Amino acid sequence: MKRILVIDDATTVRMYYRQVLEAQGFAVEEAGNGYEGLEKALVGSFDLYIVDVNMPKMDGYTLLRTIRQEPSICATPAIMISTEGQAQDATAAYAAGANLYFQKPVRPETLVLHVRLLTGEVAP
Amino acid sequence: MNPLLAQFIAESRDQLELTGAGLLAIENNPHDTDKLNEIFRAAHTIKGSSGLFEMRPVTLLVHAAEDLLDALRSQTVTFERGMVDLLLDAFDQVSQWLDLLEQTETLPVELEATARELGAKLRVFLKDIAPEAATDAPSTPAFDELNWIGQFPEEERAALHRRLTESGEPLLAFRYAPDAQCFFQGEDPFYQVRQIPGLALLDFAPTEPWLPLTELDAYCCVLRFEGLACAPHADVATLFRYVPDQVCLLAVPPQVLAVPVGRRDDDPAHYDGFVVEALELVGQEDWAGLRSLIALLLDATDPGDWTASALRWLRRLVKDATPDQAAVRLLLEAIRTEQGPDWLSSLVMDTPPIIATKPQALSDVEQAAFQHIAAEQLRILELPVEPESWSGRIRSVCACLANGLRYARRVDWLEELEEAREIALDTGATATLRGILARLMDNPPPATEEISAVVVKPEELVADKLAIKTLKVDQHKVDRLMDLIGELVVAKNGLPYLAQRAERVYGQRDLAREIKDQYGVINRIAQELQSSIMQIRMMPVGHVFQRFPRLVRDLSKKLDKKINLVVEGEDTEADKNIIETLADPLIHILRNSIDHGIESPEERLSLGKSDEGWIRVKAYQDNDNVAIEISDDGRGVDAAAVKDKAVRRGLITPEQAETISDHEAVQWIFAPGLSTADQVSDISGRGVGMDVVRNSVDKVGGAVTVHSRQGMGTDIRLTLPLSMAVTQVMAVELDGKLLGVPMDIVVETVRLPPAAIYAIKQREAFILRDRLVPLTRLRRLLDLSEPATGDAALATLVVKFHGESVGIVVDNFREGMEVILKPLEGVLAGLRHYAGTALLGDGSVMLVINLKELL
Repeated sequence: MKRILVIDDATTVRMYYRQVLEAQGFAVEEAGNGYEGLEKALVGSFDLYIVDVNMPKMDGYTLLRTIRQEPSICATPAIMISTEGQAQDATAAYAAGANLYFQKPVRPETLVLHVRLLTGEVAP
Repeated sequence: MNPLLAQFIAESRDQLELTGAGLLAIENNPHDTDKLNEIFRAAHTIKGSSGLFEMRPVTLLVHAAEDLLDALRSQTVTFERGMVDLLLDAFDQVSQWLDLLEQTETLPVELEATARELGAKLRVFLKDIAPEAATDAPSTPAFDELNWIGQFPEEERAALHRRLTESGEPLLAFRYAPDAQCFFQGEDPFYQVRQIPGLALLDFAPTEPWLPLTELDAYCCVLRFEGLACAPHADVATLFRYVPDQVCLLAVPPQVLAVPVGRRDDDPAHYDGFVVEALELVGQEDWAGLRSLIALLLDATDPGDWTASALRWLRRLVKDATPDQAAVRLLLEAIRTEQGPDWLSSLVMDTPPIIATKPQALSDVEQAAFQHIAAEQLRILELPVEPESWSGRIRSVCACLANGLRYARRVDWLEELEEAREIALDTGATATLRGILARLMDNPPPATEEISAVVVKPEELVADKLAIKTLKVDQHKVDRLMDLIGELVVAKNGLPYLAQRAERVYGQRDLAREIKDQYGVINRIAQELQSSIMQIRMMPVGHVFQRFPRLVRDLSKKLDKKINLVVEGEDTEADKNIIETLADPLIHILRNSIDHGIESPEERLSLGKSDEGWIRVKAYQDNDNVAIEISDDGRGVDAAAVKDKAVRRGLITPEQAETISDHEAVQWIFAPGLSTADQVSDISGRGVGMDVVRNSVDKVGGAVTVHSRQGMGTDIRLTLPLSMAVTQVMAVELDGKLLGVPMDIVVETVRLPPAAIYAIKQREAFILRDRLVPLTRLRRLLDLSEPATGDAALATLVVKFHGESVGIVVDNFREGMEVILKPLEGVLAGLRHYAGTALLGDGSVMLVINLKELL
């Protein structure tokens, strides 16, 4: 089972991703801010990170940058999902280390499909 | 309720509380960037989460608030006092909507108007910066006419027409206006359009005139697509099932291709004769005659004319053995007026609704997603990068591609990809990798049903070291646990009875001792369990204090008073129920202080005080109690006025009033109906308030006292138990029955020889350590007959009641015990002399008396 770490300060959003992804057979872990996300990323082996931009303690950009510089976890794909509507955010996300950028809200089908592609998990 | 919605409501309430406290801090210090960030983030979180539900009013309003906060944060607007009021209003509104959501789970659409109105007020502050962003979703594209088909070259349309009349294929007109932000939602509109089955004619154009190149946002989709496809409606609808609001599909007959183009004649009347003659031939279904008539006229018309084009189309329509009469008539009518033809109105408008049909193999969508991912990886590779992140970037990009290829079951690419990755990592050159990406994008891996060997990396078995630090638990679950602990405590109390029985009834002294030993162990565990659960229920009192700054601010503004609120000891903890009980009394007390206690600035100045009054709320732990003190430096309670009122109410005689100390008199403010304020105000009301305080505090077994210094201020002190789940009682015998007395008011027990009792008037008293203590008898209080006791010493409980010691004679003392006190319910709830009942270990029920009521 592919393991996904969802890092977002909004509990509702995390719960939403959890519902969507668990229904499709993914294992979901949650972290409420970038710092907690990094802690969890370092000890748990995940197949994908889903990262929010604006978070307390450590924001999504810093988290992604740190992840990409940490040899043990740097190869794990990451999706950044932001509430912001500006296009330059995508560039910032990619520069920081995201592999894919979406804007909230993401349709469940879109999210699941891209998560499948990024984790190589074929639909049952 | 949908758990996701419940979660949203709970979380948003938390966030709203943050915004409330934060905004007040900002009002005092507009440059507190940390606070601003905190409020902004709270608003941002609510907005983001609200997008998951259908609640436009919340999203709209919070969005406006967020924009203003963002502008404040980035200092593009300067702080004004009015902003805080408006923002508070906005968040209050959201809070009300959350209440509504909790009850009904939906928000009426009408509320959007309220949201817009409030939002507009907020945006007034932003007016100078930028116009309101269009937050409305783009409207669904629709066809109002079909003449745009004329933009395709006539020859191509003619070829398509020929093909359709021969093959009988369906024809579909489509217009697709992708969302401007679609690239970020994983869509590739151009790819999507190219996937339309039977795509015959396609045109794309910007939705607005092109901006200069320097201002063009390359990541914003400004195109709309329209065209024709030879495909059934359902097939195309399936393709667009994720963006149904962005496409318009219309099944059309082949004649819609007949849109004449060319130079228009100045006077269409030239062709009137032809049209009349042609219509006659149509009526007779003389198609051959019509064809030769058309040929005749075509020869005489300039091929570049609009009419020539129309005639050529007419010729194509009647080429068939059985032309569509209606279509021919419509085109003739067009020739007569040199307008149209209006094919759209002629069509029966029975467009089937675009509903996602059942998903087939997702291959198209999957391919589009794969290509999107590949494109984004290419884009990533082209971005500048810090050297430390280089390896991570290459590795993650390759991992994404490799997983995508595995998903597409194209493992044959994996080896090449890995080579390219090694080259990139070793040499820093990404050319090979980008080459692969380019090839993948041009030639996406077809998703086939054929299953080739899927390389599955063995999962690394890593022990789950993730430590979850905080759990959010439904309160009902904790309450349930609490109840169970209560039952455990009662069941445990049955063991001593069992030991007694073992010894007395069965003569098993050893067994009795073993049971007692075992009881000791279980007792210890039960107590630990109990205190652990108590810890879970403990909450900082600051939870209640949070509301105070707002209350003080709003009220003092309303009353034109200047008040400085000082809050201390917010971290002091107490049981959740106690904390919740605290909220109302504390607010009553605060309101009283603000309304009646603190004087107006002018009055204060005339009294030689500073114009700004203060109110201090201080919490601390005092043994097994939580103490909360509310002090102010206002005018204090007018003891004379209280006495006066009490006399007028007939509660005491004027003579009694003389003998009562001011301190005692002041305590009466807690009595029902004794408010000394002369004017009824809408803030603390009149006469209600302080008695409510005493009631709530009594209910949880607490106490309240007041100290007042005329003209100097008032101190009110609440003492509340830390927890109320398990009650310590002392069992006493009375008339052959067991009664419980709450242990918290029992100070000591004494056995009084009858000689030590003095009769003073109708009452009794005794001397305890040189102090005269009034004595009362429980039997008398409960209206039981008094047996003759002779010279036996009287078992007397000494209890502390409102700061005074009182002796209470009972028949005999029994052990102290822990019980779960269940309040009386139903008709028995009116029996205020009893605090409740408790189940004993032997299964019997003991009544616990409420001494405060009895005395």
